[in-house]
Amino acid sequence: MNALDLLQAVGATGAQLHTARCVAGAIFLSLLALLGLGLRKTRRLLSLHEAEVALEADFKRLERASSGKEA
Amino acid sequence: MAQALESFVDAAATPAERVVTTRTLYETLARGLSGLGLMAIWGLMAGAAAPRLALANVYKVPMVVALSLLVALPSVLVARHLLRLRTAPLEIVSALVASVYRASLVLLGFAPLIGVYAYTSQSIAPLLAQASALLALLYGGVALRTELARLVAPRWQLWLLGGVAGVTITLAMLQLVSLATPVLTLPTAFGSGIEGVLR
Repeated sequence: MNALDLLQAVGATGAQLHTARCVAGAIFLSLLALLGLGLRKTRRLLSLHEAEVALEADFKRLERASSGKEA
Repeated sequence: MAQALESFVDAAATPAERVVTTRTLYETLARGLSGLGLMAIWGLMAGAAAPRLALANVYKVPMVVALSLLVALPSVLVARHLLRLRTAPLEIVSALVASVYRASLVLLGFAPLIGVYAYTSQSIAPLLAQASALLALLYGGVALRTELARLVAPRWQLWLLGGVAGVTITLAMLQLVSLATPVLTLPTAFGSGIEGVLR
């Protein structure tokens, strides 16, 4: 007995079977949208963090250069 | 959404660590989406003999795999917690997605052949499609083992975690395939869910 037979055995109509498929489809589409949105946001976050690392490296280099001049 | 993503990343202490975590997250999302795209191509080819079936397969095949992962994810994360693994959940999710991506590459490799057979042989095409799907599932399991072996944790714990992931994904996939049926032009044992396979 498969999932559809099981639903039919408990008296589910064709429309209910259709609903079960629609719910699965809706969850999948929401997941897809979340993945797409997450990918966009993560790309932005990644470039922000990379810029942060670059800034920190620049700051340290400047700090070393200024301390060298003072010495 | 941004706050949720940052909560993943903010656990890292230094900016350099944050870059590594964000990159892992980005690669995981990108692999997940491209894997689903590759599966859609296989679905399109598997149903190529009937245009409506082929178009429906574009969302049915990725849907089955994505929902199987979604169904299996809580049990995998609970197993991680019970096994007291120190590995971050993101690394485990990343290993799962990487193995699914590799399995989708196997499907992509078979897609043109299945497309040719769909137009030229009505009886062999579904068998070929099933064989390629089983091969992809098998390779996905091997890839998951390889990906988990890279994590820093006792081997037996990783084996157990891989076992839980493999069993739950397979069980979920069997039933979701029966909900998405028909995917191929001829009825198969997988179309009847776990009862059809065990019969």
